[in-house]
Amino acid sequence: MRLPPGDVFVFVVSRTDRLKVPLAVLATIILATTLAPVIAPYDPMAITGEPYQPPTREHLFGTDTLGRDVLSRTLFGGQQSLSIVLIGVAIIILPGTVLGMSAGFYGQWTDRLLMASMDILLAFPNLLLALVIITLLGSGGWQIAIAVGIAGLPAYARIARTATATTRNALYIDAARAIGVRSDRLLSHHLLPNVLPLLLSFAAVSLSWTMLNSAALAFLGFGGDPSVPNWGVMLAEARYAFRVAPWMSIPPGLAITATVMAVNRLADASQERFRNRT
Amino acid sequence: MRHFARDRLLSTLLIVWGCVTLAFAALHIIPGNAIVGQMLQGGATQADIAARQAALGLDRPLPVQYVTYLAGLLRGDLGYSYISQLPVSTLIGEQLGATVMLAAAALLVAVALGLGLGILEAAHTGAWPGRLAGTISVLALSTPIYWTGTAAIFIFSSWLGLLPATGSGSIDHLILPAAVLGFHVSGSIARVTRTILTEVMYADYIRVARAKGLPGQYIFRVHILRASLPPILTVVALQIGFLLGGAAITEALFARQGIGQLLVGAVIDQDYPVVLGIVVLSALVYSTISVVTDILHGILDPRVRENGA
Repeated sequence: MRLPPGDVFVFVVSRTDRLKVPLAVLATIILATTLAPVIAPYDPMAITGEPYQPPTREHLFGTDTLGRDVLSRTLFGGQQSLSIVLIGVAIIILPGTVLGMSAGFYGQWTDRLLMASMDILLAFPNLLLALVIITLLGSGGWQIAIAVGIAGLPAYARIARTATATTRNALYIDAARAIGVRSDRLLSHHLLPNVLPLLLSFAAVSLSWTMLNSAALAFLGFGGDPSVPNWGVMLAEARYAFRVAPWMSIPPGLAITATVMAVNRLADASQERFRNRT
Repeated sequence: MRHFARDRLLSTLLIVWGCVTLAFAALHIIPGNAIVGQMLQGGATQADIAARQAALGLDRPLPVQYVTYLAGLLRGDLGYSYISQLPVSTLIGEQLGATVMLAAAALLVAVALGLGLGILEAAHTGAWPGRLAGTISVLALSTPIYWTGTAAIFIFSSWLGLLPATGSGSIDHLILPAAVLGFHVSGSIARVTRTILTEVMYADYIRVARAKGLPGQYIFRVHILRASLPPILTVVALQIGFLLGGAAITEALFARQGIGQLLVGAVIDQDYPVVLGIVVLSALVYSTISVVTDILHGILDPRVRENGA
């Protein structure tokens, strides 16, 4: 049996009530972020009133330390925060799939070498590895994306390897090999579609780690220019202002939590479907 | 069993050596940035900088520095901080106690809460206690520490005035950070507990136990829990690696002393020896814990040592 990629998507998305809520939440967050220039009431960098204002009609979520509008900064903050997450996840998924699948498929020394290096990276606690990379690269959005990407890579590559290694000996792979399908085509056309659902659900798990870790690095002060809105940076500012303006931490914290929770739910549901199918 | 333990120890030693080498190489590609920057700001001449680098051994070829570092490591010497010029082992030693206290207390919270939630979820799948436990565990997993922490500070110290918001030292200072860090970690423990328990619950021998009429409570306590505990313990042990990273954020949040604060400071200052020292220490701790739990797992569960060796 061989699923074309289109079917995999349908298989994950269709007829799943449990997926509707998290998908709707994610769509709302992404839409609100991309449409920030249109729907945000103020310029996120501009000082629009007194600092530390409680929520009012003019400022629905109040104002921050400098008197900037918290709602506008949260909407715009998604642009940097989510871009970092997307770049980080791309750094995890693209090399992770290639490395993990080749290790699992070819076995022998390719497998040993690749997995030994992944094991070494896995022995560093995740956030610590990211901090080492930040030490080398310095602060900034790109730097955070690269750091969380590399830190998340080994766990993903390991999953991709295991999934491929267990599918490699399936009967349909033997059959394809017997009729003379070449290795690279075997990998891309026969193995990949079958491990894809599992890879997708672990990619979602990686995405939730990437969100939490990248916001943590921004929170710790490695985000570069602090005037550019970012959820992690906003939480750091709110932490220092919690006595005077406790409401400051609610919008960015809620945005991070909603994103991570929706993605986790998505991973759960697709994993369950995958388990039911096999 | 002895072979299993020996192989596992050997591969762990190799992994730790690989970690040290990788971190050393990465942090020495760009040599002595922090020193040059700091000394130039202080108005030092090129000769002064060269002399300082020579004193730290940074003028020697990289392989020599590497061998010296490894030799020092075996004696527990982690080199000297570029900034404070104190031995890295002293700097770490001063902060270690606070972090170990925090991590241990957080682990206690995480295990108690995580196991409880996971068992509730598995035992009452579909019913409201199970759903509630499931929601709490996903929430724990998804809320960032730096958000729950801020909320906890606001509620318990600003509003109710029960506990101090910042600082370290007494038990009162430990409660909030440990609860916040432990709550987050409990999420993943709960989920793994639930998954493992549900898997065991549908095993054939459980069906047999039910078929021969054993009471449900008894089956759960004796058959299901006993078979599930070893893999759950393994996962709990692996969370300790996460606790080390989470401690950094928690310490920053609550302005506590500790390794995490030391690390964040060192990353900002590009104080490579301190970063390297902490990385080496945590890789060592993490690997030791994982090898010890693997061997324990092997002792508790014969299937592991036969397949794993």
